[in-house]
Amino acid sequence: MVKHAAPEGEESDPIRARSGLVRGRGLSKTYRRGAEQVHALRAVDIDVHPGELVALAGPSGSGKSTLLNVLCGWETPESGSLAYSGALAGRDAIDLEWAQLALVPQALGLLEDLTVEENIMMPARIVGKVKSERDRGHELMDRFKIAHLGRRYPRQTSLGEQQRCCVARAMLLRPALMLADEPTAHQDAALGDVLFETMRDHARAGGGFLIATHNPDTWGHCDRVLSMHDGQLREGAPDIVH
Amino acid sequence: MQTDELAPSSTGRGGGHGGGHGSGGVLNTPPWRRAPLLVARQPPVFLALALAAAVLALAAASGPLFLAATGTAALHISAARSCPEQGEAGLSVAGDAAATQFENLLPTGQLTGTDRIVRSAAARAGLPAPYLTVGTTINLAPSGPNAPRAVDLFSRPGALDHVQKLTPAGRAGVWITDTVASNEGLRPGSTIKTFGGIRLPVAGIFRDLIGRGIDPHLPRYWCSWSTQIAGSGANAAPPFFIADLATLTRSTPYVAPSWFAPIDVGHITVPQARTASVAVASVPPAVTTATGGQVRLFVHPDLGELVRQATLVHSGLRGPIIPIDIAGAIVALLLVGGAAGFWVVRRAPELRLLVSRGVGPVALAIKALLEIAPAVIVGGLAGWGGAIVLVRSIGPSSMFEPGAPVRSLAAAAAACAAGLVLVAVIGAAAAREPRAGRGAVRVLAWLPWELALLAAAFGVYLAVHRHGAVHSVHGTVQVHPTILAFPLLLLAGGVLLLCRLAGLGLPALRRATTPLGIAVYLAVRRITGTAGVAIALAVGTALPCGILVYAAAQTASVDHSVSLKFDTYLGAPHALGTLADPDSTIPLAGHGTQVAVVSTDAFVVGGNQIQMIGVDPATFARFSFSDPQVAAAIRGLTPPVDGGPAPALWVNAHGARAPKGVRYVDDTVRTVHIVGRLDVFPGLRDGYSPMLVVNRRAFLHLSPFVHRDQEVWTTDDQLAAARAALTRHGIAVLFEISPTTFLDHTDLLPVTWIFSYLRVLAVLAGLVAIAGLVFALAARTRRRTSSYVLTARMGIGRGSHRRSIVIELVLVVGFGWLAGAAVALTAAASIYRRFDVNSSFPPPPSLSIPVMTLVASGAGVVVVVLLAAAVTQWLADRADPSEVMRLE
Ligand SMILES: Nc1ncnc2c1ncn2[C@@H]1O[C@H](COP(=O)(O)OP(=O)(O)O)[C@@H](O)[C@H]1O
Ligand SMILES: [Mg+2]
Repeated sequence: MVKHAAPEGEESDPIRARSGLVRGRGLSKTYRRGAEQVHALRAVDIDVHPGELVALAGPSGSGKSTLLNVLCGWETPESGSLAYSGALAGRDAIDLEWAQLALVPQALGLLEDLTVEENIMMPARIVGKVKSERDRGHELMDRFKIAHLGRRYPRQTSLGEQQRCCVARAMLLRPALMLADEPTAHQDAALGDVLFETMRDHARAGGGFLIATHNPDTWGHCDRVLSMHDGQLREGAPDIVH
Repeated sequence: MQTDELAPSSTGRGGGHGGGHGSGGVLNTPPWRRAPLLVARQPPVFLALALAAAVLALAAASGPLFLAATGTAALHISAARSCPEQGEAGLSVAGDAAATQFENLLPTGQLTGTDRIVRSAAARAGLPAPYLTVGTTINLAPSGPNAPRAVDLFSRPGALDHVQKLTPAGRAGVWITDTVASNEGLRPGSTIKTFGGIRLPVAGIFRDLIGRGIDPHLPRYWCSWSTQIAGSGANAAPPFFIADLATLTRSTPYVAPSWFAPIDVGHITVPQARTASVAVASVPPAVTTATGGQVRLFVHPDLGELVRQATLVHSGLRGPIIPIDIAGAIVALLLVGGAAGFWVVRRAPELRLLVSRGVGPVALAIKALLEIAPAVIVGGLAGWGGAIVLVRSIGPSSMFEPGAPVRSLAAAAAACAAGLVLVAVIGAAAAREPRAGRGAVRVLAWLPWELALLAAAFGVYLAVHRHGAVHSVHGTVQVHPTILAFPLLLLAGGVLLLCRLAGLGLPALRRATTPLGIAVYLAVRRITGTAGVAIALAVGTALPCGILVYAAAQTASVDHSVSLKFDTYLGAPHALGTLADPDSTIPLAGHGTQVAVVSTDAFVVGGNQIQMIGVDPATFARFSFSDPQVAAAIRGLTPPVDGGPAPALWVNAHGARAPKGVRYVDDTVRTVHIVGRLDVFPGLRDGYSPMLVVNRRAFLHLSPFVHRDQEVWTTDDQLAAARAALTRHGIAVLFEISPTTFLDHTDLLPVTWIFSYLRVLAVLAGLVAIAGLVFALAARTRRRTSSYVLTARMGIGRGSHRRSIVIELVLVVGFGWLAGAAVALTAAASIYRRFDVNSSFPPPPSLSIPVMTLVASGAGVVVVVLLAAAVTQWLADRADPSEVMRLE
């Protein structure tokens, strides 16, 4: 296969490199499991640029989640450097606000006692923007086909609906960078497309996305595919790597 | 608590993926072989189960132990309030053939022989060797105008060790008081001559036991002989001398001997005391037989009376304590159920696997039993031991009746068996499809069970109103179990109803708090989102707080009512009975008020006996327990004018017609004019008959046959000055009035103990509730790690998080506290009137609000909230956010 070209002719590569959102170099992470050592990340170099939708592919256990954890500051790498630049310049990952770095973890982390709508509006509520972002919230719910679930509790919805709720929550404040771990794992093809199209729309406005997904159907929505294997990151889809 | 959707954290961690499924090897051995090993592998589960079982056993075992301690404690308390000899097995010579208590004399010549016979009979009955006391009154030969005509001679081994000897000991003879010695010029070596001409040598001089004749404060040793020493009422006693037995027997042909087997009832149990009181009954027949019917003894009734009273206290407690005990055990069973639920959660993967392989509920129940039984047995034994230590240290007495530990062990074992049945049921339920029960649970929760509880409470309320809450058996107050059943039912029903009503308001609360700060917003949503948990927490707070408040309210009300009754009886902080002349005015110089009391010698004209008191309106209100109403009423009590009617107050009449006049015992009739009516008046000494209050001058010039005691009433700070004034004018104080004649504190022991026990139950329930609260919060926090981590990421700081937990708990627990306190006070307010420990004596009970308990329980609630919030925050902070990115 060919390397994914930048679609719809946006900025050229050099500009992107200069104004990248996040740049990691030589990131390594090792877990100790008894006597055994698990090299979850081996000298990973990664860049995500504004306006870019990047897929992070790779088999289960290859280190995708570990990389996302390192990028959002929940885990510290043993070696290597991590720097946010552009809109997020000079900040530690852990200090970034939701509008700058939004997350869709695999565990979702919806608040059980809040309705679907309240969960989606939560980031706006915390920063006091419920009123101004209400339309945005409704629009996302409409697009994600969960508008009718607004008053239900997460436990009263399906896993796929909860996942869409979680993505909507992450996108509500139009984050500069969004890290998502398998956000379409429980979606059918059509809904997966809706999710990626919505992300694409936001990427057009300058947002950057790094999305761990091992579903090849979704790669087509992305500007680039990175593949992870045994802690090593390569440019390109896994098919090429193998 | 919702446990079924809990993902056991043990599967995700450590064991890698699917850890629960990897233990297939263990699953292949039969459950009964593996069971004891498995629970030991999970210390937290073992600990939780053992602790729950310990609390259960403690609750169940403490009842029998507590009961066993109360009888003994009552015995010891009564013994401490009696003269020492009343707690011993006492025998005296009977005055009639029926050997009743009519005391008589023994020819002196028979004393030695009888003593020998009594000693051997007592030894045969298993009693400790008795000591002999002998008393006799001897008439003296006239020696001077003021010399005593008679003296009391007393002999008891060691008696001289209990007086202050003013001359050296050594010689045999009579020890005389310093008063007589100085008045008569006697000294050691002098002789006293009896009327019969016998000369008794004076052996020594001791300080007179009653000082200078005013208000004796005798050492306890002399308690039983206080009448001989101090006299009683207006009768002064002859001088009290001490002699050795030989001198005494030489002085008189007849003596009054008593034998006391020193069993020291203050330090033995009720059954031991009962045994002794039965044993001593065998002595008089033995003595009668051995003396050929010449000497008959009777057994002093005091020991039997003490035993009977202790038994009454004990039996009066059984009714209320057993239900409290069972209620406590039920609360503790909840804890065991919770711990078993914890076991199910921790075992979830294995249980799921077993269920999927077709293992049925019975097998799972057996598995649960086998796994859990060791922990329950260990905990149960520890709890039983704990109960023994607890009741020993904070119970009414540290001495148990024999057999009580075994009985309490049986109770603990029964409770633990019930706990194991519950465990088996929970284990079997684990086999059930988790969703299947949900609908049934919802329907059950929707039904208004609390109305049934409230209806039952109303039924009990009616019973209380019909039969009262207490009655008195031989003075000992017996509390009906209804006084406990009513508040418990009302609390449970009322609090649940309040919770349900509050639940109706939750959606509105949710809407109202939408625009508020994030901490309130989250707190309210947590409450409304899982209302079941919130209700459980509120009820868990309300019940212990409510029970505490109710117990405190009833105790405070009883205390207050009793002290009001005491105050009414006494009339003033101190009421001194004097020997002042009836018509004299005692010169008190502003240190007290003089009151004349006619207790038996006045009647309504053509009617029944009444009490009368004559007061001095100028000083009465200042020194007596007078409220403004009384103070106003006595202003109208002017002295009668020239044979006209005396203005009078008609008190405690219970509807009896006010009299026009009073007929005294000597048949003189004086008219009265009723100027006021009162239910209660200070100085009312008899609850059954009405009382007339007149000006003290209305009694002037009555004949000496109308007995009127002159009392001096005064306050604490004026007591010394009042006594000094009396002494200055040579007026003897005979006694200080004490209310024990109509109500003794010992009579109230059942009340005191029942409510103390109820409080301990409340504290136990409170501890269970706190444990449940912390446990529920911990479980919830674990389950919600990911949402906590995410909200932190969105910008909710630790402060806001902690604030929101505090707000949530304050709302839920605070509501529980308020509901509990409100329902408890309602319960107390609706039946305190029927909780009258002596309904024959006014005033009727009044309700006291237990402010201290309200404040203390409120403060306790605040502390628990802060602690629970801190624990929750600590647990949340320990969450590893990197876990969240992967699946939990
Ligand atoms: N906390 C941990 N302790 C030990 N090993 C871990 C831990 N977290 C992840 N691993 C291991 O690191 C490797 C990478 O995991 P992860 O990043 O979750 O993979 P992916 O998301 O690609 O499935 C796996 O082999 C996993 O078992
Ligand atoms: Mg992963």
